[in-house]
Amino acid sequence: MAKTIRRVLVGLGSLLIAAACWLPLSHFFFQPRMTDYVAAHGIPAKARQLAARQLEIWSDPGLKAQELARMRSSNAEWDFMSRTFFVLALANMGFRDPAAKSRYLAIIDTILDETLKLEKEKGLYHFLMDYAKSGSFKSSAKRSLFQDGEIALMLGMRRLLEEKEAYKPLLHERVEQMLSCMRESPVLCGESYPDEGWMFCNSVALAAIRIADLLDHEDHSEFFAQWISTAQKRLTDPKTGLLISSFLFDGTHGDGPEGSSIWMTAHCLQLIDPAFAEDQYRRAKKELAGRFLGFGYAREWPKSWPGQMDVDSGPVIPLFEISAGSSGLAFVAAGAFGDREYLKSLLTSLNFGGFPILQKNRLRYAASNPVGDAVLLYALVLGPAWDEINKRMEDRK
Amino acid sequence: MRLPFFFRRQPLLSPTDLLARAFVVSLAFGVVHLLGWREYTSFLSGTLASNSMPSFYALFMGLTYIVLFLAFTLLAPALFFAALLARGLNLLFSQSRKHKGGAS
Repeated sequence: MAKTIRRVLVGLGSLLIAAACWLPLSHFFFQPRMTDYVAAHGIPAKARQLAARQLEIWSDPGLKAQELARMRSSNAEWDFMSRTFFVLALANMGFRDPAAKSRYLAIIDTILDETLKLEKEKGLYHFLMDYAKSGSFKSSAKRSLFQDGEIALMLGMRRLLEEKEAYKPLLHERVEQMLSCMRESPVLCGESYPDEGWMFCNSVALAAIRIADLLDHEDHSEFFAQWISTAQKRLTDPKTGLLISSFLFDGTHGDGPEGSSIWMTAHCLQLIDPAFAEDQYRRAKKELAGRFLGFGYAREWPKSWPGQMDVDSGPVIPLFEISAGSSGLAFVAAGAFGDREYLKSLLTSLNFGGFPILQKNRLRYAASNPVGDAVLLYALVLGPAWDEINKRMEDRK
Repeated sequence: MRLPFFFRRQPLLSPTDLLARAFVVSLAFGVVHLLGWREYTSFLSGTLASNSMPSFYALFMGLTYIVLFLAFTLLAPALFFAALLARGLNLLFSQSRKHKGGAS
């Protein structure tokens, strides 16, 4: 009997000691070699592999149909956003690898032309979730800033990489429509869905307008200043100082600050008000970023604003409140603000829980989908396009 | 025919028991990995791995893969090191007992 008790105690004690030693060390096996993921110049190896998979999707009609259908069965927006983030990534890759620019431009044009065609043929609701049909837009143009903003940003990024005359009037028209919708609202924000504005979409729209200003020699600085001032006064959560994620057309608050919105918002605002953008990133990191046993993650909601799991947050892992949607977009912000340490911890988690699949030098993450992979690709190559815009703005001054 | 030791019942929490458990966990993970169930973890992003498969089966396979992956990466190494540690401690105890026996 004493022998059994001793065996169990020794076994249990050994297991506890081994677990206490192993668990804090386990993240080392998933830590990335940062030079594979981040590079000041050129395209890092992992980004090339991710891009190869995205290119495969866009060059194989069967695979494209299958992947887009898979996403659309969950959320039609993802079909649209996978296009946006891939185009953003390709534009940055064009700056990073000028030798391959013409190839990237051809793919950007294919994506843009197909997206514009679908919008024209299938109408406003093709890239929106079904509930868009249940209400009516308050703005007189009755347009979705979600679509206009991202299409304008794609057009702008394409033209930034290399001018294309055919896209000039298309971008100009979008910008005018967006500004008209935004100016109608007392908080200078357009609707993405009927009577529902999103900070994510409005910040994307602002970035697109900034790029259009640069390309077409216009100036909306006054509007940008008004927008920032209004957002700080009327669309900010008083507890965290973070911009809220959604609101009604009249500015009534909807959801509070959300990770799936604020990370991208901060990145886009880098083109509008860099100091304010930096402040939003620092606040978001304080409220939403987390690290456990060396694995980085992001929450969807600050502790002071408990929210409900939804299509934007993605599945949320209880206890730590780890959100797939927020963590995915946190890559973009960490990359954009040069937060290498946070990026490394996020990549460690991605290598662990993203379930990478590398086949024929094409990388994808099984736990993700094409939009998630496109966001990640963008996070790994972003920088040159924003730098180019800032440089040209400086030159203009 | 005798089964290999890791499939036989071992004294609970003995070094061989811990080692056998680590082995069984690794084997189970190896099987689901080779079966390609990694694909089904896409439910984590709210996306179905395949539109042709009923979501219940896809969810089951994805969840099973994740549980076994966590067991393989976090539990199995701890079990393996615990087996080594327990074996070392047992040797230490038996040697000190022998030493005490010899001294008396």
